[in-house]
Amino acid sequence: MDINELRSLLTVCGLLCFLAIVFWAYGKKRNKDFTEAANLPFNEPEEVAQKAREDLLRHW
Amino acid sequence: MANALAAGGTAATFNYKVVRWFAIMTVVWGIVGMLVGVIIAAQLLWPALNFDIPWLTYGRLRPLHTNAVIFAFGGCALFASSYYCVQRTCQARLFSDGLAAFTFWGWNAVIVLAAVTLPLGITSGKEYAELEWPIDLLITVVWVSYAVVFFGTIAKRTTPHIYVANWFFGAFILTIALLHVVNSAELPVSLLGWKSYSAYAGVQDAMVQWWYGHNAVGFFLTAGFLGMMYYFVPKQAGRPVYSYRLSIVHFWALIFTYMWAGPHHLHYTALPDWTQSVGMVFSLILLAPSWGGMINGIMTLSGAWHKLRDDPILKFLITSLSFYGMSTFEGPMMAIKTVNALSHYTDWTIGHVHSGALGWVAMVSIGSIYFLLPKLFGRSEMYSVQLVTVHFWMATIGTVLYIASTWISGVMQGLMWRATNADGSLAYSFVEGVKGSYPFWAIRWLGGVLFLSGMILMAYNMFRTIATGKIRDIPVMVPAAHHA
Repeated sequence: MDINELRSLLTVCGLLCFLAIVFWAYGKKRNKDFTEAANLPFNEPEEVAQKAREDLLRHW
Repeated sequence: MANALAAGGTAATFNYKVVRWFAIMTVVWGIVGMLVGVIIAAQLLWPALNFDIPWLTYGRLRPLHTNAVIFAFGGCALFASSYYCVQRTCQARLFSDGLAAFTFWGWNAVIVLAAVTLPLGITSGKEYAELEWPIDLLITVVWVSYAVVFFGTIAKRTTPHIYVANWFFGAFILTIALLHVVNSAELPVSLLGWKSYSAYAGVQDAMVQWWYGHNAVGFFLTAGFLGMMYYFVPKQAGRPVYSYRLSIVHFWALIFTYMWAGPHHLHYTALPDWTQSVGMVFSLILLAPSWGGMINGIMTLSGAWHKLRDDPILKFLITSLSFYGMSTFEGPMMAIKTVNALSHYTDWTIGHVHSGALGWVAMVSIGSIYFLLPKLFGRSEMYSVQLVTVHFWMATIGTVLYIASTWISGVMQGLMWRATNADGSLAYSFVEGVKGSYPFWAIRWLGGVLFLSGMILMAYNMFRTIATGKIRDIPVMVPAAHHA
């Protein structure tokens, strides 16, 4: 195999790798995990504490 | 959760101290770096402004400007936001307070050394890597410490996922380590003279240098600040990232593609043609993952566009993403060989740099610091929200003046340099191009003055905020009644 054949092969592998990542990321079963992850900035201590305080006041 | 609290004891609070220090120094170094920029822009208009003092000459001050704005201003903004973000999204205090403090003092020592050695003419001549070998060693030690603190904190996390911003910060930290060590491979030849010779030479050195240079842009100035964006935009907008899955896809595409873009700095040089082509093609591909980031950030405001009207922090953050989109379109265009044949060595390159540096990097940093400061000093908002809005307009107008003027002078320079008479001789002498650029350099200088003035407003607002604030320790864990 000469260098150009290797370059072509690696280019195709690169594309397949990219497509694999796309399918992995957009697969349905990981949806819940990613929604959880996306909400990490909002699950921070003060926000949760604040919400807990508000809930308590509302139910008081 | 309760166990962790008991086990943590007093360590169950976040380390905001180092974040405060870095946030303050971001503004300070921003002013210093941009002031040097304004001075050298003025020197292009009035060369006598070097007063014939070697330390004030353009050639020595320019790298001071670039190093100060990228590494001092940009660097401190990245340290501050990454230390803040990683703790809060991992719900863990920084891995090591001592090591984090060391990164603060070490990094600022690097900056001070740069400010002293560069005007003295001590330079390796490598762009964005001018600092000589003793400082390179210090940078390496500080950077390894930074990696230990950052990844150590991630290892301590109590959250099931590693938030996307931390992926970008992590990639930025690891890549910069690699870039710095490889590009700075050098043989010191004098101890007190701070002189070294690069391990590389000729076109190989050029390639290594611009592999480094472009990835400094791609990882220091892009990946790192995308990390910042992915945390502060959702926080300020009050809604999660538009598409977490898109963030994963564009993350991997971005970090892979950026590595190959370097040769676009070397079009029509002695670099082999096939290498130039690789750089051009990957730079064009890079448009997609870059715009993935921009779309994700801007669309996070979906359903909350109205917030832009009254929230200047959001204005800064979203405008920064617009400039990011612009610059990541302009860049690939300029990476095309035929376009580059016109743009290379002209002011267009400078315009492009500042579109990214002022429009994207500076504005996302400013927005993030305005977000951070009240939180760090126990206030609900900045001392004057009105001043933040004023700053926003000064920054935007300053940036637009800068970019537009350098576009015009840049394209003009490119066209003048290549213009030939019917007999094939050059139509213009170089100095005629210089003369033609003069009015545009004046407009560019004005844009920079406006941007710098905005930073000074920020410093005032920051000091007033700190003066009327109070420092509180924020607990990492929420005791007892807590969501499942």
